[in-house]
Amino acid sequence: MKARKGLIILFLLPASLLYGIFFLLPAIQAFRYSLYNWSGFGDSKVFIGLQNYVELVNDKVFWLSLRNTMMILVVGGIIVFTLAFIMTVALNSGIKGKKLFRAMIFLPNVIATIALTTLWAYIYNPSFGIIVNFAKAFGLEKLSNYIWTSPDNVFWSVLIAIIWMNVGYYLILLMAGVDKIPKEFYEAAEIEGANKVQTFFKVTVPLIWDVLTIAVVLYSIGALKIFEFPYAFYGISVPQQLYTVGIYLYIMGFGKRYPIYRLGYATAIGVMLLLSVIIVVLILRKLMKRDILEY
Amino acid sequence: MDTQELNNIKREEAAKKSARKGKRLMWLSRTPSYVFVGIWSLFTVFVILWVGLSSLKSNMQIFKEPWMLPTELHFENFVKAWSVMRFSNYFLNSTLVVLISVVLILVVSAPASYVLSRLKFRGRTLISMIYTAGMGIPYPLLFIPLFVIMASLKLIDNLVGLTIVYVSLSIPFTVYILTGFFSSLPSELEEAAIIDGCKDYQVFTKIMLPLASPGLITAAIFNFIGLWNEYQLALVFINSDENRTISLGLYSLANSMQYTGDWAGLFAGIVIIMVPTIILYIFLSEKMIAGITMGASK
Amino acid sequence: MKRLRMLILLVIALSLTLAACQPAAEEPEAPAAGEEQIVLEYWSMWNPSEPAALAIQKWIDAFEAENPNITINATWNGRENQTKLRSALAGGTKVDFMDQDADQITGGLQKEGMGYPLNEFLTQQALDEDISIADTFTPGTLELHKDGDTYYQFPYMNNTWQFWANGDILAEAGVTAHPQTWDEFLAMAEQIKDAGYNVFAAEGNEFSYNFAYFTYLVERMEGPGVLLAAAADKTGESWNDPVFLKSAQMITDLWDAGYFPPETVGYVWPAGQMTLATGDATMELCGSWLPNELRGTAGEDFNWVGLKFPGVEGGKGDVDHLTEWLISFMIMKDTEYAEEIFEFFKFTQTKENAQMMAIDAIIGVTRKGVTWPELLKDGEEAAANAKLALKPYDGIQALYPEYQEIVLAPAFNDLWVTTITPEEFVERMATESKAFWDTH
Repeated sequence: MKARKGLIILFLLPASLLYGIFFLLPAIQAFRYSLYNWSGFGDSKVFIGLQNYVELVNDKVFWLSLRNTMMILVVGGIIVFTLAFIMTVALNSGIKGKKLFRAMIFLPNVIATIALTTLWAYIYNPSFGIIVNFAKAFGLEKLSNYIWTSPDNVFWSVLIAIIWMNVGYYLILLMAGVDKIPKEFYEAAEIEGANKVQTFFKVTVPLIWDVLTIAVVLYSIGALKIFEFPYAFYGISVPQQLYTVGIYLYIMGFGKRYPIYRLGYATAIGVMLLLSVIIVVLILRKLMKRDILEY
Repeated sequence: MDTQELNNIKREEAAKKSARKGKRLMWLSRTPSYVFVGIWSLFTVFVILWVGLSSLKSNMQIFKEPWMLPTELHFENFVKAWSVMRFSNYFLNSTLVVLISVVLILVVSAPASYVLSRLKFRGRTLISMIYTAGMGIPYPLLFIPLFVIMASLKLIDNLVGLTIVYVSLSIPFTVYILTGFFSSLPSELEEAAIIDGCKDYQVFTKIMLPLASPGLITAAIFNFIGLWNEYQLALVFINSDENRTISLGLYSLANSMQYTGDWAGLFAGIVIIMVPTIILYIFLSEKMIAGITMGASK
Repeated sequence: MKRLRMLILLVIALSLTLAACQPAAEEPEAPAAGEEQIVLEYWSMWNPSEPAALAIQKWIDAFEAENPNITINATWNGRENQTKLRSALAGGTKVDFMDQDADQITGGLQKEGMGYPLNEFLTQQALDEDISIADTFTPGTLELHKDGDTYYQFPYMNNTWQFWANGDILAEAGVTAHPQTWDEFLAMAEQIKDAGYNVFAAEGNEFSYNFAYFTYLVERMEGPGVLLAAAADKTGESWNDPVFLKSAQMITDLWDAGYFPPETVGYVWPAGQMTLATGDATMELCGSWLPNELRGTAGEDFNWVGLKFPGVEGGKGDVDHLTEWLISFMIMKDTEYAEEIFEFFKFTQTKENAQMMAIDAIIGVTRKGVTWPELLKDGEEAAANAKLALKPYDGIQALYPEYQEIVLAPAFNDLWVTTITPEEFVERMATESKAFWDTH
């Protein structure tokens, strides 16, 4: 549609001003800090060029936290979407109370993270946790001896909790797409003699491909920036098993409990984080690019 | 018989067949569905109930009998959280800041999203991309530079300042959602409106905005939930007790456990912070989901 | 159009007016006629409703009553006080004094040279006794975090690191005397185990608590500073000193003897310490905030006993060398009112005022001769008789926090849950220390 320049400017101005002044400007300024060796206190800034980045590339812990983040992104993502798809199918199989179930599955998304981390710590507790109690009651010795929060297992246990939190969100997005698919497509598939699995892959997935793309991009951004849940899960200090890039950034720059004050370095981590978001989103767009099916 | 008719017949047969098969297999085939979503949902409900029940226990019972019902109801946990820990104050602050923020977020984001999704002009893609990029920026990066900006505007430790920060930082996500909604609206509407003599801005206010209202509601709810639980930015920009938000209050409470050990009080705080979002969600979840349905299928 | 324009105008107007009325709200109260009113900005690590904050507010109120020309404006920031202060300083906010865990100040504001030296003030006389203010402190606490010869911190709280134990279980197991040596300590552990209790409560991965075992053991054998020197050794070779292998081995032995229940590896704070409160375990090595923290769960009649970390036969350390986790005030370098602030510090350090803090916040204090609350009586005794005050983590946390977080903590966590052997731990420390210092 043709529109006056004035209108465009008028409509864009308030959002752009706020976004520009209070978000972009400080973000750009922050990137400048990444070229300095700076604790953040006073005028102790020393310009060191790209040294922070050189250090970062050689920093084992950074790669470890990136690996953890990628695990949440890839492994967590695959499971979240598989579960969301299964639930979509289950909820659309004609069961009663579809809306109620859907609403309940989404519920964790509205609860403060600290409540959820406390709860999961109780679920996993090796002496009075619910899993242990349950396993003991049913005589499942292997399960009752499994220590969910031991250093070897804690990452996966936290990942399970993260998946549980996220499934509802993406379930709703996917269901939104599926609900819009006209019934005739399914009928046609049945005529062709397709079974449920075939119908799912040949009809459902292609027809909600655009929704799926949006959902995957949103999940990826959230997973790459993840901070709160693993940070709050482990009581006082965060063990390296739970480091994500976001947590590493925070620990380096804001030393919650320890006086680590490397603001310049932390900022460099932030820049890398933004870069990885951009790269992942671009890759996803490329991978998921298909002709959108219109109906 | 042409293909069309043949297909129709096939379809009818298939429908009949599936209806018969459906009746017979209905319960059998749906049982796994019920079990799966049922267990999952029950677990979530259990979680909420557990948090709620824990908030009525004594400190001792929380740890000694975490999975039992409270032996006696300790409502004083709530009294303590609400008045001694001043959650009543924090609650009011949060309500004010979050509601005003959500309104302002929509007021500034809706026109921008409309322009970015429906009007053609040079630089549109670039501007869209700049907005989207904001979603990838981790907040901790902003703490110090944004603090300097806010300090120079004398907006530190101030609910107005916090509102401005909330509004500005919520714009990328909101624009991302809303552009989805606006572009899902059929273009014939605008053309018809123009032909009917609507001015360009009227197309937005009279036609597009009402049509996109499910999207606005969705964006409002997402922002409400997000900001209600937000504490990182509040931690940076709020100092004094009278300006604390409820999630910041909860965060501080959790952080002081090492000296106070008052877990019952913490659970009461968690319930207080949880109630508004859950109520809101119960009443509005259908609208929110309806909104997503519309926007997601752009 | 009208509606829209209104909306946009409203936004702009709102932001402008709100921004405009802001300064008015922040203006300090009008000075009292005739006398210049001094307003001191104090940023605190306490949250507003915590007992410690309420006690400090009592100090402030009483001090203001005695000094009507001084107003102390407290901002209760909570634990991230120093980090918040950093942003505030960058934004030009004026703060006159603050408080935080002593370690954190040492590695933060003190290291950055932002503290005001207290040396001259400390020679002043105490308000309630004929001794210098420096002499009012329990042994070693004032000196513990000085920088060279300069004092920047005024510690006012003291958390002693000891084994906090369930006295009833000790009695039931027949433990009569506090163990003074490692062998006695092991004998005691065996007695408790035989009585059918878990000996130690601990978290699985909480470096900040668990590492105290290692710090103490190294100190007991080789004295203070050895661990810190190893951490600072750029070649990493210091880690081959047998004391580290020995200390690591002693910790592993405790695990092998079954003194830690196997679930310990999975305890996420506060799950481990709760086993002490619920009577399943007998003791935990922790700061003296623990008895108060567990009070609500353990009950008021819990019989708290504080055992000193035992000495090691033939070692350079001593059972009376005590790790003390202090919380300090610090005056900011740029304040105009250092003298007035120090007057306030002196005021808080009177016996009467320190006593009030100890009772109200149920915590140890740094003033000599003050009675600590009943459940901390062994902490009071330990602090009063300490022959030497030790820094938490031998000072590593203050001086090399990044090294601690990146190199030391992960390696020690693995040793703690016995996924690596003492030999592997020492070897890993040697190589990773070198690697760390090569790039830092």
